[in-house]
Amino acid sequence: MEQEAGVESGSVTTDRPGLPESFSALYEAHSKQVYFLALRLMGNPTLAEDATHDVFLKAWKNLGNFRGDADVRTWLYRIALNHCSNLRSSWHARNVHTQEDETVIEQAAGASDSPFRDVEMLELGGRIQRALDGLPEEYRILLLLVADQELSYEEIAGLTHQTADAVRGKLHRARKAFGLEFRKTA
Amino acid sequence: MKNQLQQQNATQADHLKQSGVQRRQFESAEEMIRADREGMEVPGSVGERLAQSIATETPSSVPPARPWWKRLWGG
Repeated sequence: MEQEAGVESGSVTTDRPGLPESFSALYEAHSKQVYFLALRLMGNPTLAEDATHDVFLKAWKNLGNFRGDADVRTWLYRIALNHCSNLRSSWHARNVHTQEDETVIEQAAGASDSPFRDVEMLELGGRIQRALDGLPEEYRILLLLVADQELSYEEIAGLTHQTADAVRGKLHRARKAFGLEFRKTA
Repeated sequence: MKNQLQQQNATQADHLKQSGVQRRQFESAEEMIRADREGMEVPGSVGERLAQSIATETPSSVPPARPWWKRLWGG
């Protein structure tokens, strides 16, 4: 990837006052994805800002340990997911994915596979947040990661500690569940 | 917390107003989430805070780690 090559070579000219040039390029290239993931996972802009700051500070401190055998974006997502998971661990009980949830989602198939028509764009952020809030955390994470087209199923599998086939299967259910929740927000 | 989220969504709404797009169809949840992300901006204060934090992370502010053998033998 172009930005990553630039990060390593330090040749990227994008700069943010106060940040070393090469790290500034890394921040510019990936901060939106990290912030968005944190915001939609936790639903709180202040926590998402803190998480973005902490993730990049951690990346800065560990830049020397980055082995380069993983994509930089994947590495940052891993730090972000761990960070958000720690913050949210006390909420885990509320988000445990039960068999009952699964049955409801399977029974409600059909309509939720159809396109999302005539979506009012001004309400989009709020509706997506409410829909994600209604999902088990695992589905929320999978949908947010798969929406990043730079990540392969294998990379998502690595980030979520499961096989690529398991990711595909769960994504199918996650999409259905999201469709149901999103339509409730209309 | 709710107010902050509303404020973030309002910022996003301003961005969308400027783009002139009011209603859209999305083929999938992922496509819709991507559109949501595209309208998002990271607050500038995050980069400023990060720059300050990195500036204070000078090598001299980090105490040198004790050698492993000193940690092991309590030296």
